[in-house]
Amino acid sequence: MKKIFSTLFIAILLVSCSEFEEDLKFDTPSYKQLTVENVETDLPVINITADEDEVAEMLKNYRDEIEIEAHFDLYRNKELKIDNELIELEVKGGRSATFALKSLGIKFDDSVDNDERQLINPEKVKSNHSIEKVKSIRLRNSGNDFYDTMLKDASYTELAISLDLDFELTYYEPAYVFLNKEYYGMLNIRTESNSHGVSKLFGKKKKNVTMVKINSPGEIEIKDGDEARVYSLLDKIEQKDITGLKEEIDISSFIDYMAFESLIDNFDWPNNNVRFYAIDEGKFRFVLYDLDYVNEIDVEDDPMETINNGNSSAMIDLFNVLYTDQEFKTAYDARIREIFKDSRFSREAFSAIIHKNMEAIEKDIPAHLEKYNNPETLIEWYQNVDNLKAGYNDRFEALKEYLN
Amino acid sequence: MKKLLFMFFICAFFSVNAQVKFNVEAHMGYAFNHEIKVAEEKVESNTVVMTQFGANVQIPIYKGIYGETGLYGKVYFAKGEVRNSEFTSTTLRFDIPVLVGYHFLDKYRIASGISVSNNRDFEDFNISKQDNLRINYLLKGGYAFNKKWQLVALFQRNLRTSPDLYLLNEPKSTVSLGVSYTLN
Repeated sequence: MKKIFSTLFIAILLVSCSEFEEDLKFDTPSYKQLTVENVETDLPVINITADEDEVAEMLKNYRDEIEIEAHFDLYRNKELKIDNELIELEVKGGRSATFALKSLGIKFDDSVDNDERQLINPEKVKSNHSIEKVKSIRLRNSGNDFYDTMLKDASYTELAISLDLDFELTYYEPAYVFLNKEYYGMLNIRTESNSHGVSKLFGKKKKNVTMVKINSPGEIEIKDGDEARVYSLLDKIEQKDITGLKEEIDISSFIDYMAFESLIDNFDWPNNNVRFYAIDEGKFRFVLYDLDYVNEIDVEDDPMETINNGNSSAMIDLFNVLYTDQEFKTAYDARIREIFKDSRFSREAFSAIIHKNMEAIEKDIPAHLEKYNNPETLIEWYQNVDNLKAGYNDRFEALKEYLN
Repeated sequence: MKKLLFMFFICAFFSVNAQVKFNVEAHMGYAFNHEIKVAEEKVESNTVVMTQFGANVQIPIYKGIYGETGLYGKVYFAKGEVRNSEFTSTTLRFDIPVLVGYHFLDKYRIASGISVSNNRDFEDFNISKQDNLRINYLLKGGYAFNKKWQLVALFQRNLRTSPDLYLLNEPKSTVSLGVSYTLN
């Protein structure tokens, strides 16, 4: 009898597995057959041409910040919009640079006239922003969302755009990308959150911008501009000089930024992924980016806990100093509730954004899934899209406890 | 509580070993979900046929009451469609049930309990995830034709929330009919 049980047990363990086969209802060529010329899509098609050895070296040593010279073509509906434009090409990203499909930074030799050449056509641009001229873009692999939906960061950014919040952000459009005419994958064209990107939003030069970045674990990095001004700001935070801080900080931008990031529970923030900047002598304003860890971890947290998450950061200190000021506290508490109760922040509104973005790439993503094989099937991708909505719904439910 | 139950089964097993029955069993049935949605669309024509085979041991506990455990393999054959995707799948899972039952009117028995089965393939097990295993509620009935052969009916329902994706190839509920043969 023992033999029967043990044989059965071993047999079941050995063969316990599943096979899943999927057929799509629409025709989609294998990624191996895709070429710049034959791809049928409404999305922009980008081809980057560069020395093959240099490309291989750059992709292999992705931590070395290797910049290579390359040329950039962009097609829309098979019409060549950008022809052989000289660029500097570089692998971008932190952990996501380890993924098979790496994000690429593209710096154009000359600013691109976006109205004429349609480098990026986002659905909506904030009224105070301009993307008429673009100096650099990123072809982004959606960061840590690469193995899930390719939609997360872009959709949360679109939510912020729809709410017309008072900070800067990056614009989005998905694209087919070929490297030396070989299908590289689907990447998201994003305007940059750096000094190039922000200055162009306001028709300014990079030299006009003071840009500060906070990297994990809360380290300040002055990227460009007036260092003395940044140190003065940090000093005012340390001295808890509320009056001085109000003179340096665009309070409306700060409130919207802190409220939105904490509402969407960005776990990889605020001791990382923070950028703030000033143009000339203007006040410091804030830039939203890197939202691939939102509404994933600790979604039950009070927004205040999200802000005070993790290690110390100048951003946490700045908020906590200003929050001791009654005028700021009243304004912040009112604003976070106002955003939460705005119908554009509702579950239905976010679900509609996700659904629209899903439909926009639904027929283009199979080639990408075939190449990178994670998720393996369109159904699994659908499920990941549902999980993205579910994460938002869970957070929204949790927020009711704190903000109603 | 779990420890007590375990000890009870062990004691019962050794004290009444002589009356223990060993059976092999085979089932065929239909697996279904009440309603599942993927990408905001109801999953259409999700047809899943299930077969189950394995062996069990029935241990008399007290008068007509008995405990039952065993080991089964369950195979699900599924096909369906979601939005732009049509799929077919074959899924084999192990299943370890623990039931308490009651014999009545000589030929009938009814039992209820739970089973543990794998929700993921073993090669995809991930200890950081909570969806590696399923816990199922079981309701089982039997009718004995004679001393060796029984007709058995089984209802199984997954008690843990699984992502809907797993329910496409292995739905939440299963009803099946089968035969059981006593080896001793």
